[in-house]
Amino acid sequence: MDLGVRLGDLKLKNPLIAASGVFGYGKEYSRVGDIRWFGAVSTKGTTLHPRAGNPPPRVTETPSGMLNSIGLENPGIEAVIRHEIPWLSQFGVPIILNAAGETYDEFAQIAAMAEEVPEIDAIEVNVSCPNVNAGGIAFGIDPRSVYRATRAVRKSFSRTVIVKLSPAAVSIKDVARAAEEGGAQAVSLINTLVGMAIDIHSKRPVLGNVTGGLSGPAVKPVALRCVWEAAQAVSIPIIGMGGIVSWQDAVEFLLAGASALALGSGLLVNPRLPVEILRGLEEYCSREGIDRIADLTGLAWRSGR
Amino acid sequence: MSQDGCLGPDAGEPRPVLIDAEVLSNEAISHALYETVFRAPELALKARPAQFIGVKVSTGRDPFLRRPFSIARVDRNRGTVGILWARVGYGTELMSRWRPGETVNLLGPLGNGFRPRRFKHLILVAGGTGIAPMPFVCAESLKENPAASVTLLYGAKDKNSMYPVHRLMQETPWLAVQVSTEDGSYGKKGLVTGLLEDCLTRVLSQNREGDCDASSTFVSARKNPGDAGDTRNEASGPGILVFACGPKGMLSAVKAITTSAKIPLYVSLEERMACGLGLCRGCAVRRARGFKLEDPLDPVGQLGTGGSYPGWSSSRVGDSYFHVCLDGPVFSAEDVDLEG
Repeated sequence: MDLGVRLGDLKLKNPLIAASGVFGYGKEYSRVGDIRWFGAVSTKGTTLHPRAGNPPPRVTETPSGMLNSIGLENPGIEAVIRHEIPWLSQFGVPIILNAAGETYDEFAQIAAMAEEVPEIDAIEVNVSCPNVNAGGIAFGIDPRSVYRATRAVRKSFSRTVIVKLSPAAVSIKDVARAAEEGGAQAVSLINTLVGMAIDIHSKRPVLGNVTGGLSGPAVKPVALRCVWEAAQAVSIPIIGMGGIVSWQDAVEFLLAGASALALGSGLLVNPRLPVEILRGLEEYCSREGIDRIADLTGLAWRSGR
Repeated sequence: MSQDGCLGPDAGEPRPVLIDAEVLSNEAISHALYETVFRAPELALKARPAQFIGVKVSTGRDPFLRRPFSIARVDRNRGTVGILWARVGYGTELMSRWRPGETVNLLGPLGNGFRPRRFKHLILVAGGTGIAPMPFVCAESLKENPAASVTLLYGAKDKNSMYPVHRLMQETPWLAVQVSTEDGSYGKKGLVTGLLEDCLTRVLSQNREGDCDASSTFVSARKNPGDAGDTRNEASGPGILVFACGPKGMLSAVKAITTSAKIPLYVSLEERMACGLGLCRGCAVRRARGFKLEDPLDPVGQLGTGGSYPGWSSSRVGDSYFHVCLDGPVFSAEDVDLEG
C-alpha cells in the first residue's frame, strides 16, 4: 500500500498534514502525539513581526464545530527561524511555513528569510486568515491579490509554494487559478468561514474580536465543494481540509480531488487522529483494491459517469 | 526549572494521557452541582491538585470540543478520578445523562496545578463552582506541611446549591471550613470575600500574639519573578498563603484584599478553551501590566525557558497574554490581569 503523495517538489510519506494553527510549532503537540505520524506539518501562521493575538475569549463551541479568533499570535519569523525550526526539523518530517503578510512586501520579506533556511521545505501563503485587520482574508477573496501575493513569495522562495485559500472568495475556481498562475505548486483549502456567536446572558458577542473563523465538521460540506471545484479548475495538487474527523471524511476529500489532507480542529479534540485516519485509509484501499492512495484523487469526477 | 514552590508540574513531569474511562457514578449532589467518578488509574497516578482534564462529552461530532474540568478528587488506591460540575449548557446537559458503565474519553492531567511547599496557614477561597478543585487540594494540602493549618472559605448562592461540605470535613478532618451564602440560608450571609477579611484579621492577630512579627514576612523579599532562588510566593516563617478559585469578579476582589494585606495569592483561572494542550492558543489571559518574565539566560523572554511558568514555550512569545491551559490554570495573582 503506497500512501505517498507529491506536492510540487515535495514528497510526503503519507497524505496527512497538521494544519496551520492547531499545532503551534510542534513542541506542544509532541507531548501527546508523534510528529512523525504526519506526512508534513504546517506551522502556526507566522508574520514578519511578533503578534500578541486578539483579546479573549478567542474560542467557542458552535454546533458540530468551533469559532476561533486567535489573531495570528506568533513570535515573528525571526524567532521562528531561530528557535522553532531547528527543533521541528529533527523529526525529518517536511516543514511547511505558513506565512501571513499584511502587504505583498511583507510576504516577499518573509519568503526571502525562509529561503535562507533549508529546513523550511515549503511556504504556505496565508491569504485567508479571517481574524486580522490587515492582509488575511482581504487578499484571499480577490484573484488579483491572490496572484500578487503568490508571485511575491514565488520570486523570493525557490522551493515549494502553496497558497491557502478562503471559502469566502466569490469564485473558488478563479482564486485557485490565480494562485496557479502566480507560481503556486499546490493550493490548500479551505481556511475557516467567518462567523459569530452571541452570549444571551451578557447580550454581547462571545468572542473578544466579535467575529471568528468557523471550523470543524460543520464546514465539511462547504470545504468538500470547494475542493471539488478547485481540483477541476487547476492542474496543481490540492490539500483538502475542513472538518476532517474520521477516515471516511478523508476518503471523501480524496475522491473530491484532494491529493493531501490537512487536519485542523479535529486534531484539537483528538491528538491521535492521524493514526486512526491512516489505519482507516489503508483498510479502505485494501478493500477497494487500490494500491496507491494517489489513485483515489478526484475519482468522484474523473470516473466520468 | 521552576524555583517557585507553588506551581507544578516541572518540565519532565508525566505527559498527559488519552484514555477511555468507565463512569463509576454520576449524580446530582446539590441543586447546582453534579459529581462524576471515573475509573482512570493512569490519570489518578499522574494527577496533581488543581490540574484539569479534557472531557469528550459524547463520541459524536456534537458537542465537538472537549470540556475542561478541574480534577475534584483522586483515589490512587482505587484508581478513580472525580469531577464536580454544574449543568449550564448543552454539553453538561448530555453529561447529566451519563450512566454508570458508560465509557467517556478523557485527556489529562492538563495544566500546572498547585502544590504549596512552605506555609503555615493555607487559606482556600472558593466561590460557586470554584469549589471544584478544592476537595483534591484539601486532601493533599498537608503533604509537605504536616504541621500547617488549612482553612476553606466557601461562598455559594444558597444552601440548596452548595457542595455538601460535611463530606469535606469527614475526608479531611484537619480542615477548618467556613461557608457564606448570598441569601443567608447557610453559614454567614454575604460573599466569601467577607469570610476572607474576617479570617485574615483572625490569623494575623494570632500570629501577632506569637513569637514573631508576621507582617514583615509577607513582603516579597525579592522582586524578580522566576529568578533563581525566588521564593516570593512561598510564605516563609509564619506565612499565610491564599489559593482562590471562582468567578473573575470574586478573584479580583480577593486579590484586592490579599494585596493590601501583602499576602501571596494564587488563583485558578477559567477561560474558554479548545484543546487544553497549548496547540491552538485559544485560552488567552491578559498578563498584569508590567509583568516581565525574567530569566537570566533569556532576558527578553524569547527563549521561554521557564521562570515561574514551566509550561512556557518560546512559541508563545506575544507580550500580552498567558494561556490558561499551559501556563496555568494556576497563576500567581500578581502576574495576571483579573479586571479584563
